[in-house]
Amino acid sequence: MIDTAVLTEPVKSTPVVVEERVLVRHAQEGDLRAFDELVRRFQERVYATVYHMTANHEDANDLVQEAFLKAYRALKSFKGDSSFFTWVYRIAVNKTINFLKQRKNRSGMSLNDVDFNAEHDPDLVALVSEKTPRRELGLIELQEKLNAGMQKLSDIHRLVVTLHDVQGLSHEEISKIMDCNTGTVRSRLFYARQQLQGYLADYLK
Amino acid sequence: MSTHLDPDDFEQLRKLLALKRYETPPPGYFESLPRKVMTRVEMTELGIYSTWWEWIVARFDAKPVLACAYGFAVSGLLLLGFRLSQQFEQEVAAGPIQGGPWLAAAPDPLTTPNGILPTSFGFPVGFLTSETVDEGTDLHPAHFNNLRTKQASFALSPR
Repeated sequence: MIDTAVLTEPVKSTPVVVEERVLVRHAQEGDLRAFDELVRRFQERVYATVYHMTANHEDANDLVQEAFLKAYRALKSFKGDSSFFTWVYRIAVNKTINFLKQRKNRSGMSLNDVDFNAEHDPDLVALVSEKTPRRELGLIELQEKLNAGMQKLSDIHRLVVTLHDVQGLSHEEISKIMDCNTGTVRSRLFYARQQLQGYLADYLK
Repeated sequence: MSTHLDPDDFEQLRKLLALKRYETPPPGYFESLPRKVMTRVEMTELGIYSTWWEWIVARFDAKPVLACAYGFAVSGLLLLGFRLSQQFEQEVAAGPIQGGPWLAAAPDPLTTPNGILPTSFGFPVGFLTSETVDEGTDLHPAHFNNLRTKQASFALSPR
C-alpha cells in the first residue's frame, strides 16, 4: 500500500526521483494504484510527443495506451538504469516510429485542437503582427503551414524537433530516448530545423 | 550544407514550434486516459493468468520469500506424510491389529456356516414370525389400496 502523503506531496527537485522510484517499486510488486499514478504523471508529455509525431489524435490515443500497457507488461524488466520517464518515453517513441512506418496515408493535424491561450502568447502575437508576409496570416493559417512543414520531415527528424523544440527536452535526454549520442541529436536537430526554415522561409524573415 | 550550429539562426522557428504546445486533446481527455489504461491493464492481468497455476507462479515470482516459505511448508508436509506411512507399514508388518477401528473382522468360517453372520437384534414387538404365530391362525396378506398420499404444497404464503 502506498502512503497517500507521498503521492500528494508537492513536486520538488530531489524527492521527485525518490517518489518515482518508490512508485515504480510498488508497481513492480503489482500495486496498480502506483502504476496508475505513474500514468497520470507522464501521460501529458507522452501524449504530446506521440501526437506531434502522428498528427492525429485517435492514433495518438491508441499509441499512448499501447505504450503504457507495454510498459506495465515489461515493468519487471525495468532495472532503473534510466529514469522511468525516459524508459516510458522510449517505449512510446519506438511504438510510434513503427506505427508510422506501417502507416501510408497521413492525415493533417486538427487545428480545432489548438488551445485558445495560443492567441495570447506574446511570441505568436509578435510573429503575426510584424511587417512580414505572414502579417496577413491568422493563427490557423500559420499553424497549417507549420504542420505541413513538420509532416515533410522524416520520422526521426520530426521526433528530434518535437522532443527539443516543442517538448523542451535537453539533448542528453533525447539521446537517451533515441539511444544515440548527443552529437547525433544535435546534427539531426540542425538538419530538421534547416529543412523547416527552408519550407517556412517566407514566414520567418 | 552548412555545418554552422548557431542556435540563434533558428530563433524565429523555435518560437513558432513552441506554439505547438498549445495543441491540446479534447477537454477531459487526460482525466479519462488513465482509466482506459488501467482497464486494459486489468484485462491483461486476467488474460495473462488463464490458469490458477500461472497465477500462483506470477505471485511467487513477485514475492520470492513467500515462494520459499510455501516450498518449505509443502516439503515438510510431504516428509511428515512419508514418515507416517513408514510407521504404519512397520506396525502392520509387526502383526495383525486386533480390534482396530479401521479393520473389519472377517467372519470365522468355523463358527459362521455359509459365511452368514448371525443377527444380534430381535424382531420388533408385535412382529409375526413363523415362531410366534400358532398353527391354524388365519393369515391374510396386507392391502395397501386404501392408502393415499398427500401431495406436498409449495405455494408461498404472502407476507
